Amino acid sequence: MIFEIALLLVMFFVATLSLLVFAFRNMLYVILSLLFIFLLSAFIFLMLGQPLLAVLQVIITVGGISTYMFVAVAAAEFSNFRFTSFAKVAALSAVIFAVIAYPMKTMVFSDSGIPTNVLTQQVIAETMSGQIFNIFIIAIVLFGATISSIILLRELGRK
Amino acid sequence: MILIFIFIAFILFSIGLGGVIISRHFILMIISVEMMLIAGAILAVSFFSYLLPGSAIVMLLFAIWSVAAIEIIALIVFYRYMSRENLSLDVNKLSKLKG
Repeated sequence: MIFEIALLLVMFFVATLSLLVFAFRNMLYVILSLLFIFLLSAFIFLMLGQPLLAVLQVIITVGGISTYMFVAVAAAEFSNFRFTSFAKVAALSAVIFAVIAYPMKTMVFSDSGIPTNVLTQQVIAETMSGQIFNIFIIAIVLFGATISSIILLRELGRK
Repeated sequence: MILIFIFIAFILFSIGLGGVIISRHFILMIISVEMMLIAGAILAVSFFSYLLPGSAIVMLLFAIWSVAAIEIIALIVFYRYMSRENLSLDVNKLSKLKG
């Protein structure tokens, strides 16, 4: 019971903080709210039973990416900040959420809690396990592409 | 139980997508894409830990984190360039850039 309440609280805080990103006028507050979203995602990883991923999430996103963001934004003035309409973002997000969450209504849950595919009525675990190798290949290719883009940026910077 | 995790990821993704579509501010667009990446990471970890327990998801997450880090590097480079050239952060005005 406590677990469900904590999850609902996390869902509420994630929704509030991610909407607050578009409500603040000061860019530092925007990045602070993004930092708390990163922390909450690490908490979600912890709730999913993945403490190593939670620690890595805190180290990489909160320690690395947020610090870079602070440096990037604090290095220049904020005078040309253009305010985004908060109500428009909230309304469009509600529409997008309704569209992408609608298939969940027809998702079949078996007794063991394992979801099945809506179209094929096949257990997702069986269909996913055959794709693990492809997922890892895609991840390795993506990782190599990012590393090589860093090298390319450095080479371009030298020229 | 997995439904709540999926809903959290969907909320984060939809707000990020709405932000990318509505916002014209360069930094807010980057931050929205970061939120979408985090939503993807939450969805991947929740599916993997529920459906395939014991599998190594770290490599996929490393790819997501590296894409996020690359975005921030691009943000720093563009932001410094724009502030040096006195350009606006409005992405509609970026079409004037030639390269």
